[in-house]
Amino acid sequence: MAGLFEHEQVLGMMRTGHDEWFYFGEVSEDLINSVVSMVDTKPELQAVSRPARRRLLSALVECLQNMRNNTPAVPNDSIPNSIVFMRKISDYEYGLRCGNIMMTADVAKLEERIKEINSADQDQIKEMYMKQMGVVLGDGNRKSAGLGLLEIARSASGKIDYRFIDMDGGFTFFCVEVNVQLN
Amino acid sequence: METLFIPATKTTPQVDFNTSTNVFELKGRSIPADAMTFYQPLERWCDYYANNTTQTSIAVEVKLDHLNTGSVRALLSAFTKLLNARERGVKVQINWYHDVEDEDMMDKGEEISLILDHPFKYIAVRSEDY
Repeated sequence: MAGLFEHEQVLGMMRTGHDEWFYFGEVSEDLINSVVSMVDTKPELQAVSRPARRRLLSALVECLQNMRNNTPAVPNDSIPNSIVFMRKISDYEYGLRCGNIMMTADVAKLEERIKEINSADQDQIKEMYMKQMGVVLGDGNRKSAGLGLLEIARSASGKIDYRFIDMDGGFTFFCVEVNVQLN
Repeated sequence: METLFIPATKTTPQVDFNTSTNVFELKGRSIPADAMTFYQPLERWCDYYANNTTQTSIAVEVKLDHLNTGSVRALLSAFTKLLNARERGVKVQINWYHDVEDEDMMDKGEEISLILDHPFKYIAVRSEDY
């Protein structure tokens, strides 16, 4: 499979040039720690309320952990298969964009799930979250299947924007984009 | 039974389940990548405690300012074990602290309370106070 940096559509996303912070590579515990430190110490984020900072961090952490938990092993594992961008839209709004490689066979199911979340209002998303949490607990499932996207939707100020970019070898690059209000 | 104490890190809370005072406290931020692994010792401890304690009441102080989904899932498992102590007549009081401005964190407590089918007491404070 060709690397992300060789793929024209992925490269196009990286060339926008308005990002505050970006990262290409594996999502590790260390990366999550670094992101937490950045949000904790970034001077302009100190000016916003703690609940608003928590909302931004929540969306960012859920995106990262979703990527960490759902990225399959790819044939050439020396190629970074995840990207994360954070963009300041205004003093009170940040944009997050996270992408990872996934199995093409799982695309239809994931897209259906995102469409379902995007068609719901915040109360309905809360209901879906509670229902899914009940399923996860009932199954004794040690993963939090499907809860991450719902949590991202709860932190976001609008719908989840997303795109799938077909790679070869049965893999697809999945990118999710959300905005988070800080007021 | 011994107190369970786990110091806080940047992504995990301080756990102080003190058997001398019977006050069980979680404090800080809970956003580990692998929440089940972090909470496993706590879940085991709660299971053992619920089946062996001779106390009549305990207080759980939840002072978390951020929980990721994995932590909610893991916390539910641990609290489910602890609440089994009710079958032995133990009164379990769960106090859920949240920033006075942070309704989302209060909602999170209400959701957990609903799933556990156990009432929480909600205490609004300034973040810097906990």
